[in-house]
Amino acid sequence: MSSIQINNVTKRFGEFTAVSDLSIDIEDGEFVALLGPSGCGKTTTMNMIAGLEEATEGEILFNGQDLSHTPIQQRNIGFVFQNYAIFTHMTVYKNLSYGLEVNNVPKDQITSRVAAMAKRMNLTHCLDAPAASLSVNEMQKLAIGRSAIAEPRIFLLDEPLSNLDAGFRAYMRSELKVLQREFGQTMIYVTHDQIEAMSLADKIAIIDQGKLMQYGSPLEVYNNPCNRFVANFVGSPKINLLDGQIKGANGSTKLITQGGAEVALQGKISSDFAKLKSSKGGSIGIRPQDIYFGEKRASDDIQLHGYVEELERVGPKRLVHLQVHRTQIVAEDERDALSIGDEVEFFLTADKCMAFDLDSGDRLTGGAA
Amino acid sequence: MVALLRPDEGSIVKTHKTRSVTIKRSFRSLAVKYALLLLACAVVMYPLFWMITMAFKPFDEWTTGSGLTWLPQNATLGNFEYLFYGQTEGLVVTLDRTIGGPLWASLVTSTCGTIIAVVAGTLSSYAVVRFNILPSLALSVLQLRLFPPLAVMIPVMVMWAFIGGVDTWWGLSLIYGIVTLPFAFWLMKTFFDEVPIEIEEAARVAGSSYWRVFYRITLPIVKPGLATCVLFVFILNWSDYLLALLLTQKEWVTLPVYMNTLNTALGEMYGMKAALGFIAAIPPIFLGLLIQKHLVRGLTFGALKQ
Repeated sequence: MSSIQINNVTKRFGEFTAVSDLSIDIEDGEFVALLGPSGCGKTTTMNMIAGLEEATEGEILFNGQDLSHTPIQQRNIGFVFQNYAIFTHMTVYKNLSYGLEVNNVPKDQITSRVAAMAKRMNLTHCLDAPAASLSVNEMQKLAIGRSAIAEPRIFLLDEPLSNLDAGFRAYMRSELKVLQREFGQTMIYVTHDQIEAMSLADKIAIIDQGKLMQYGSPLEVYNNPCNRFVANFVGSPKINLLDGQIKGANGSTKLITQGGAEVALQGKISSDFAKLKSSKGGSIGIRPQDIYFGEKRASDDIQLHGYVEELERVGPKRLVHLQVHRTQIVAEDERDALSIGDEVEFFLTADKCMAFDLDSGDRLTGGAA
Repeated sequence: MVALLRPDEGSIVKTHKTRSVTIKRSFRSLAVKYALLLLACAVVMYPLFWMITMAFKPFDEWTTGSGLTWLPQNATLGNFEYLFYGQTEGLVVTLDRTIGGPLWASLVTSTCGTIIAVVAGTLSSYAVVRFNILPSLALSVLQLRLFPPLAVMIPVMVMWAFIGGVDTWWGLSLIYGIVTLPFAFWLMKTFFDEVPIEIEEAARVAGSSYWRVFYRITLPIVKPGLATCVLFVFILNWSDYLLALLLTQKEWVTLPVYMNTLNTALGEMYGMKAALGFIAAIPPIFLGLLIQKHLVRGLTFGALKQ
């Protein structure tokens, strides 16, 4: 077990900067997800923590100790690769025992630990089978078991679920959470799937183009995204972002969307936009569940008028795609009473509206709700 | 209605026609294909057939005296006896040098040359693929193979004379190793290219050193490739004539060079040469059978997706 401090780490490959000035503090026993789109530098960050890549600048400390000059084989790290990296020329048993054998663990201990791990991962029935004969799901379990068996002080997982079928992915997701609690290890988990990150992690680090966008608990990044990218990336169904020009002075501010819809702003959101400096305009973020139909509930709530373009069933809920002057807004339909083509009045809950600068993407009001 | 139907009818007729034409054509092309395959087989197999039958024919059957026959009329082991003991019944000419020495020379030099080429080729190609050490090495190694060996043979002879390597087992082994190294290097490189780096990283993270990863993980994975490489390099060395001709004189004459000395006052000793060819074919075939289970996988390695 170990805490990890990533201090101002930069990684360049020639001209290309993969990770830029990244700082993250990970506490002992914490489960942290590195979340971002493909190519954002999250795997590079992971490889630097593991020691597979060396940071160009900055330092990574384990329990306050810099391991940059420690060879990777002495770092005691567990790594689960996206493609599992199973030793296909060995049996399942040999895969599990490999790490213990290399570290000169006594034979009788190896046997008992392999047996225990095989039981834990439900692989006992195929211990003597060649690893290449396993199904994808079993390979995944073997990959996790192989990394966990040596009881590493930190556990790194690089998109471990992305190759699995949907059902097994959901199962493994909860399984991983259980495993982490059992092992009590510090876990770092790389993913581009925000649902995985939200459901698994204690903390999420959202990375885009090599830069840290936000680092906080899942609820924090969900409720209080510090910029437009985070707001857009986290949450399912996706947040609505109404981009447009901000017109008018304090009191009677308006946002005019590219489609020409005029949104009258009052109260807090209006004063948020007073801080807007860029000429490119601003953006209002509102999550689908914060839009409602029927009676206006608070005086500052923004009233809009549009028609129902599409209805989408997501489990027990229904999402309504509303069209307002060529701008699409998705709302959650609680009453289940709308049909396609209906003209409706709907409201954006004022204190759930977030204001962003369209140019820099920064949250206006400095991230405080 | 009629006008409407017509185009349909037309197209139906057309389809039938095309189908029967296709069947006919595919039958014909199949026949042609098989005929060509049989022809190719015959071209490849006939010399082997000739060699095997000739090896067992007595002297008067491979001279035109009694007329040529497909199969030996009085099959004999005389040709082999002549090769191993220097004389045989019914043949007045005796052989100065029997097959023992050249056979041993061929086995020693081909094996040592193969070991040199495969070990050096495997290690250097792994270094280039995995550690990107001297990326230009890949092309410079290839250069060794780009000029005809004859072009450099005279300087090589002079050098080998200088280091005392002419007509020694190590001198010939060394040149075999050098000449087949590019082949081993490039063959092994294609196999190493296929090994996902994550498998090696997983082993490193688990606590293995680079060497341990190489011999416990990477090498076992490319075993089929290694087997293919060993066989090909061995065959290249085994069948060499030019290098052995120029770099050996007496002691370490190899089988191909030795074969050319099998001429007597009675003319070309076809029967003995065929017997020699028969014997010479055995080691590569034996090696091939030994590593057969890896061979098919090795030959198709690059074609498989992970």
